[in-house]
Amino acid sequence: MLDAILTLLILALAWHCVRTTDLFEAIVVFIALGMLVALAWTRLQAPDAALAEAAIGAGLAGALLLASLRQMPEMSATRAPGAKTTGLGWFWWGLWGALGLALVSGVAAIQTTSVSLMPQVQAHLSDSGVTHPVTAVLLNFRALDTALELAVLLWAWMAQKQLFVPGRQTVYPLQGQVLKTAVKALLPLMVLVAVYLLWRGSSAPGGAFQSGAVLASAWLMLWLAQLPGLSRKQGGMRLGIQAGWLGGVTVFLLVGLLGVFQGAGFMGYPPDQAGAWILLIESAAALSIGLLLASMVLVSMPDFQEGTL
Amino acid sequence: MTEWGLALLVVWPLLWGALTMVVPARQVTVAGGLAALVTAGLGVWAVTLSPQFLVLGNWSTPLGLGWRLDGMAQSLIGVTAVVGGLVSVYAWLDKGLPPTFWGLWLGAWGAMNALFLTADVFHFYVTLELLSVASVAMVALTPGAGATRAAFRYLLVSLTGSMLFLLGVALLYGRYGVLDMTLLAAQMTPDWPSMLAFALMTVGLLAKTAVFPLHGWLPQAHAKALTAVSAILSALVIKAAFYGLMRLWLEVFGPLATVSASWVLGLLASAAIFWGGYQALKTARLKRLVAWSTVAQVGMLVLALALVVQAKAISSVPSVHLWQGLVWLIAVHALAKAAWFLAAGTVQKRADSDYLAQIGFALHRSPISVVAMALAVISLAGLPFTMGFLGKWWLLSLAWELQAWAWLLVSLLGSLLTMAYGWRLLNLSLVNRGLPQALKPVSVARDWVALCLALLGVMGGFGGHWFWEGV
Amino acid sequence: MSWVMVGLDWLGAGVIALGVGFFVAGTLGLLRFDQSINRLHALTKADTLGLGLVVFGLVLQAPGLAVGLKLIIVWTLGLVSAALVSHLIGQSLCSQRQEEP
Repeated sequence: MLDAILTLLILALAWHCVRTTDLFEAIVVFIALGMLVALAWTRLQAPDAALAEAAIGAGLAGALLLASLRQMPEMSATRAPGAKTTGLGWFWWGLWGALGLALVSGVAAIQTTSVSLMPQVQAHLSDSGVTHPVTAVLLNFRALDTALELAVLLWAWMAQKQLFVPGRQTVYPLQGQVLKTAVKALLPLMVLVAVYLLWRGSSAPGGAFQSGAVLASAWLMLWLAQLPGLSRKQGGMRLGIQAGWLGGVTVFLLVGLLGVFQGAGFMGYPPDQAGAWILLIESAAALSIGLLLASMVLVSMPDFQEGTL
Repeated sequence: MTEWGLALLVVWPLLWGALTMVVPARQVTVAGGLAALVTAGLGVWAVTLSPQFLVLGNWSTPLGLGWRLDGMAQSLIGVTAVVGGLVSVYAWLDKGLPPTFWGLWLGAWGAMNALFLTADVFHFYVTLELLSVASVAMVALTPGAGATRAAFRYLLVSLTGSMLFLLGVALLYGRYGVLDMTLLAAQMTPDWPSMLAFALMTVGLLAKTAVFPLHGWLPQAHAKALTAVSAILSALVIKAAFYGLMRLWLEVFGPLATVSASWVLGLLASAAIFWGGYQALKTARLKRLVAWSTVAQVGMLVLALALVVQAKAISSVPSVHLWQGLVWLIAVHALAKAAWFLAAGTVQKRADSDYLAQIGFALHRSPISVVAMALAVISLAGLPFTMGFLGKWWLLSLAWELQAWAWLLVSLLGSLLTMAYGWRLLNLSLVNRGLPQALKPVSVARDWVALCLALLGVMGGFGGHWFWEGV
Repeated sequence: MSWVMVGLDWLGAGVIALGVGFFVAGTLGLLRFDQSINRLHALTKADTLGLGLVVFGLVLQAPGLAVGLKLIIVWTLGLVSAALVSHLIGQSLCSQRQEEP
């Protein structure tokens, strides 16, 4: 019952998000959609995916979209209603509809006697250095997947820097001390949550991506409150931030090479040291993810100055 | 030793690519260029190894990831090393290239090496994703709104292709519970989920390879890009997606790749050959011409794939040198297209114009580049004494054996079209020189790099015996 | 003892239902009011009370002290962030008004 309502709501919101002519409305609906999809992940008992979806899919992606919208000229912020929804429009709807139907029938045709790698994962879990199967797969059994995904994030950031256009609008100056005080009070708590999520990843849902998302929002709040804590113009801090961007991929790949040296194979660890290496990699990765996500949002902010990142 | 080398083949370019973000702008070219040359060396070294299967982190498949160094992977790594190395030299000589190029290019190279090595369909998706992100950003290196628009279009097509591929991977995992290519190939049965996965993954890769009618993004993206980037995208990045098609059609989905399925590929390929050739004949701009020629040549590759699929499906035909022929054609195209784009870019720079009507004099004053272009064209068209001739000979004899007269005719007409649009450029330099004009100074070393690539494309023909008999 | 538990459970359910009612009212206000300031008013009033009641109801049903305390922390953080966000929205509205004479 609950699942049916959830599914219908997701479909309705997705439809609305695509059909609406007001881009601002589309973004708001998109954020709401992200929250609902996160709920769907929890219903599917995939809390790892739910956490990531809520933090990145709904939170940071929404912030990015809103920031991009503010940079767009007024005229193009709304789509002309009814324009270009002629024959070709129906062609695309038909195509995607057919794809959807084919997928549904394809999934339905798969026998329910499920075949998966879960038994194998469970059998080797004790040698993986962690007790949470998702973390074992991501950081040990298929470590190169995750290392290259981190690389995708880093290279996406390079690509975004390439497309950076200095903002046109200015934001309103902040009045009073409310935000500053609140951020100062909340910041230690956010860092604590990030560290907790990271630590928890070895035995329960959590890990570098979720922790990184929390770190990113902490950093964004610092910036919003115009606090001087992380001035990117200082030489040392600038170098630190740059090192942070690269840290995730670099540490991961270097530890992977170390595996060859230790006889555990490329991207492998000796079982007794695996836990420690995974913790090191996840810490570097969380820091990297936090810095990269925050940088991506910051650079798209309206009054962001070129050359500071 | 072998494991070190193979790991470095992926890790080295990625680490250096990442590091170029913190290297001061003035030193990036040196750091990036040296890193690229070492990567090229590693790639050439990988060709000399014996074929092997390597499991990552000592986790045997299906749990872990497998790397497979077989003839096909080795050849592609080798081609990428040679072409990538020479293009890197050209990029080093090009002072106008923004320093960001090196990080993006090294990232793309590392992604391609991982893509050639992997034996896992999901990992293939991850490498494809990294390659796409880096390639799109390389297109966006060109200043101006036009290039940004082309890059954005490329991004959308590429992402859609990736998404379709990923859907196929999910279906395969749901159906078979494994992701390793060899294990999938062993269990493959022609049922509905597998067929759907086959179709989705094929369409995704066709879009990334720019096969007609999903080619629309290519002429803009490849023509607007900076010269070194055009060469990389046209010669190498496209081939990475085509390599995926080869793996899917010849290996993973072996039982599903029937003769009738190959007809679909053949028809798309023929349309690409004619449409690409027609547009190349019609266009008024230099780099557009080379880019449209890529659309046509990709059609030729897909046609060859269709013939190989037929040959595998019909067991009565002696199936020798099947993937070797494909790989040979890939090498021909990679060398010729890289040479052509680099030479065209040099001429374009000298004339300070991309319009064919305005480059006659610059062509006349760039004899080395003209020779490079001429060699590239005759190798692509498959005239005797070139690498392309051997490839075309193989293709035609395969079509002959299969009695596929239609495909035989198409590939012959394709060669004629290649000659025709190639002649448009040579005609400009030999006959229609145009009025003398002031030319921009461009280092002649850049012409020589293009000529090196083109000469390799010709001389490679003499290495044919070693390749066809040895591998 | 068990009578107390059952009573608390029912009480909790009632309080949660009341909280949900506040949420619905607040959402209605958000959708129906025409000015941003009014919307903010509806939203924060209902949000604070609604969340407070839902959390209170859950605390009544909580199996132990630890869970109850965690719920109260959730509520406190919710309060802080709601206050902060409405303060920011109000400030931006104020600046906008000053700009347009």
